[in-house]
Amino acid sequence: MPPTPMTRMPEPALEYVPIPKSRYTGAEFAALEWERMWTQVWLMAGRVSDIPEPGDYFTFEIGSESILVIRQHDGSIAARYNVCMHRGNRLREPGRGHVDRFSCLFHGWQYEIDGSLAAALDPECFKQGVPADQLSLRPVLCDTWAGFVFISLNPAAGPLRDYLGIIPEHLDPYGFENWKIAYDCTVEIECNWKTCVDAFNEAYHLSSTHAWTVAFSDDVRTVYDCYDKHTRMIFPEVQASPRFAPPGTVTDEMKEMFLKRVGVDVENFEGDADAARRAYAEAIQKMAPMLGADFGDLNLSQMCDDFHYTIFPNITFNTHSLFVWVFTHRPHPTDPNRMYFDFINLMNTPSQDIPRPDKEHYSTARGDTLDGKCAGGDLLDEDLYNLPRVQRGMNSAAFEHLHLGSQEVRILHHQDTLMRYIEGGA
Amino acid sequence: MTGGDRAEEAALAWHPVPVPVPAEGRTCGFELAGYRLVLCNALGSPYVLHDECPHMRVPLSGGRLQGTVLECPRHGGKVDVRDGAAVERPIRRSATCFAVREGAAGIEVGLPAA
Repeated sequence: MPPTPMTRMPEPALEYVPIPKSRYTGAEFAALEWERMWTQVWLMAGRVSDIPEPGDYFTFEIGSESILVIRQHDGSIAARYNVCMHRGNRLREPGRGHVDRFSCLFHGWQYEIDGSLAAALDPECFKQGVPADQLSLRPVLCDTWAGFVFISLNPAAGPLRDYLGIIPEHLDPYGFENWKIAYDCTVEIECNWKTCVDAFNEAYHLSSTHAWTVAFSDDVRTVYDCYDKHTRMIFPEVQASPRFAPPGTVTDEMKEMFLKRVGVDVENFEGDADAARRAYAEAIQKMAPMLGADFGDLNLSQMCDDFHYTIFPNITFNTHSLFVWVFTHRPHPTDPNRMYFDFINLMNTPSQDIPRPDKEHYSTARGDTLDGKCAGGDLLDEDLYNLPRVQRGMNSAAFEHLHLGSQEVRILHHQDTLMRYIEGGA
Repeated sequence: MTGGDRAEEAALAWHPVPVPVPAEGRTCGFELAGYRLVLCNALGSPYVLHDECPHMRVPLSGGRLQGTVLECPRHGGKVDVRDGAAVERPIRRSATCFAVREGAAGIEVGLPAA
């Protein structure tokens, strides 16, 4: 497989203009987003591995819509609106499950797993008839990439591959199809969905929000690349920030949090930071047979660093050689000051049988914390702590617009792409 | 073994379950001594319930388990197979559970003695 392109992109031709806060706080702008963006783009709905057999389904909630994603008898995957065509009842509650047929609780209308109307109670009482061609579940575009299911509410959306642009070329070398879900949660956060996307789109916040991480990750030498709709950030790990230690230093934290964990003899390790990174990568390579993983298509940077991709509008990949954190940031159906943050941790352990964990549900309004809930939960918790506070501050009369710097170019680019949809240029 | 204290056990008639234990997370319906029952494999342990959803009285067999929670295949209501407790609507009443034990010839279910 061709390796992930490492070529840097030229600085995007974007002006560092003020970003109006109304895009983050206003119901009017949120309505425009729904009409002109959310209902037009491709959206990540879930994992293929969650619906292995015909009749297996999961729901995908986006805005005011609920979509059923269903494995078909022929092995394909189809998506249908989760709406009974009789009186509009939701057919299934949010979550995963299995059916032979979908049966509406309200009056018992039944649908085959391909969405076709199978039975209506007392059909003779409908003098106008019960035409199956008009009363079957409404289809939704559906496709897959890398073991992820995507849907689009736009029946005229082009192919998923075209929408994803550079993403498959960049991420296929990781082979996500066979990675296993090790953690799954959704957190309702009191902030706009973009407040959350933005928080993960720069390393500028590292030295303050995650002050302890500069001992083993490098916010200063992080690089940012902007593509058509999507963006990348290569965030060095197993490498301390020059804010913390001179370049080349092997810190105790690098030893403890990286080298030791993959079996490097840190007591007798001698060498500079480059040697530490090579030792870390070599140790992971040795784990490949045990994990069933293939690191052959990854370079040294990919073995050590976070290859961080944002797929427009709302998908974040924190990609590492051993795991990837995948976030989706979904808008609240009515309140621009609330959103849903989905987090799955996929492990690069194709040959290991990891039981599929149940999804956990949290809420910042309840004061829930991810600290201790999963690997890296403490790190994420520091972001989740900020987000409602950022949103509340944005709503202040004192705050009018975002004032972005060059390390926040991905936020600027995300806004530019969003506005292309809003203004009709996408 | 699940369910029942010693006094209740004494009033039970133990019957071999006439179907093999299904794969983990799966169910299997069967009839025994006039009862319609469903055998569930929840996390590797067998549980037997009355094969009737407390909501619409349709069979629970064919439903799938997540952990110890069985989803009714008709409307998606859920019960905990350990005690039959309703977990998710539209199921609001408990399902009936029966005691299970490992017998000489395999899984046995304790039904009320005639």
